[in-house]
Amino acid sequence: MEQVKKRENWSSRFGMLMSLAGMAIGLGNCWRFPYLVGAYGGGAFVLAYLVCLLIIVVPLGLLEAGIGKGLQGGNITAWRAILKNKLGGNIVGTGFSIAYAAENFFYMSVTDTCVYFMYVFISGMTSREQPELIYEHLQSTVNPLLTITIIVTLAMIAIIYLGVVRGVEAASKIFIPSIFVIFLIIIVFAAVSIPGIAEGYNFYLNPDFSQLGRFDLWKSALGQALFSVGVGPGCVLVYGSHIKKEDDCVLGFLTVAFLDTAAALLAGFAIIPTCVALGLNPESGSGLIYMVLPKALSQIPMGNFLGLLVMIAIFCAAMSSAIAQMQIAVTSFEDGFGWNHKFTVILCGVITFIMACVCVVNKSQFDFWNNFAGNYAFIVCAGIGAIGYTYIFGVKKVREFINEGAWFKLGDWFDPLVKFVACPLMVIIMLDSLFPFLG
Amino acid sequence: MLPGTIIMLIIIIVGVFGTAGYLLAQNLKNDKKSN
Repeated sequence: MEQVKKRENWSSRFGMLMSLAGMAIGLGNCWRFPYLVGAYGGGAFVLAYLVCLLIIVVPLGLLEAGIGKGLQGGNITAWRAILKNKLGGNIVGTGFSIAYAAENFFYMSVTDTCVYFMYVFISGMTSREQPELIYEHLQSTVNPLLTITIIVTLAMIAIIYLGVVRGVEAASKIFIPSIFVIFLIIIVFAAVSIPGIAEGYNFYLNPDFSQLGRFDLWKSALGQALFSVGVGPGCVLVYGSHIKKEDDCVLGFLTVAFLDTAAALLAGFAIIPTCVALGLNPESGSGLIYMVLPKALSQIPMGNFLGLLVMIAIFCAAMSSAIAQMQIAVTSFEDGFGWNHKFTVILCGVITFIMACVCVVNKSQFDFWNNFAGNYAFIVCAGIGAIGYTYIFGVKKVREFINEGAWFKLGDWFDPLVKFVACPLMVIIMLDSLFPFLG
Repeated sequence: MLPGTIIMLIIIIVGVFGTAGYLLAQNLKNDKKSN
């Protein structure tokens, strides 16, 4: 007979919200969203992102949260119930958990660069040396990054070891409000101190409707929305499983989806117009934060202080998401295989620690895991998950889980929205990611 | 600022930040009630 273990639930609604927001708000908002907006020409991407969020990501996220809450278990427990097969559930659930946890392998490397740039801004290095050179030099030297990776990874493991309430929830209550406050300070400061900032706002927000015909823009916008809100490899499901059965998951998930979008838009407001107004190219891709932004900030008064604030915000976001990525695997293995907390945290922690160090030392490993997580894992897991929750487990059954204790009950309209719009669109995008056919 | 920028700004402030604030307030209200 399987032993029924008492699961740890959030201590309060605010704690739950901050933890869910901590899972969602991460490098996707602060690092990836601004550079994708820049790369895809500004406002058109923002508009496509909002459409994908409302039509696909929110309905699928509600399904994930509902399954987690209804079954009170992680990925493995959920997939055993969906497939009605223990072995199949073990394979799919473990695959989902590993796909998400694997993000931490390269995530730690972006996080340690952020910690190093805190030092760069504190020491005023940007006034003596070009940020591009600092960044390139850092990429070619291993020691400082490796030391920071070791410290940051151990801190993350310690937080998860403390458990859901004392570790994850307590850390998120500090990290998440800090991100919003810091970005607001930067936006206000930039708005009053940088001449020509309105030009930057035009680039950021004014949509070029001719761009909306590009399929790659929509695919990137959807991928980014899934990655940002955390819908796909079961993270919403696992966090939803810590909500008590009689509690509301609709209000919680919707709040997190909108807070996450607000954080991404705020990061965009803080970064894109500043770069455009100071005559720098926002279309520089993933180096935007570490190469273009420091250059822009070095041209304005108190630039080093603002740069330090940006890095602190990115660090808070990265840490809260890194915790979530490992927590998904920890919860899923504890629930699914009955492993004890200490053993699961140590096992997942050691693997993450070794792989994070490998990604720092070996750049091709970093690129491999970055590409795997960003371009395949999320979209494939979201596609398989959408099919499993909608057509195999049954959207009506999930809706009953969702509506139990909900502030806003989902009506019959939700079923066709998921069955005929959100899920098919998700599957098309997944197939195109695997076998490109739509250009 | 261009008209498109102003329309998007309104959509974002009302639609995203406004909704996020409203939902957060509802959560905190429920939290207070359950305590």
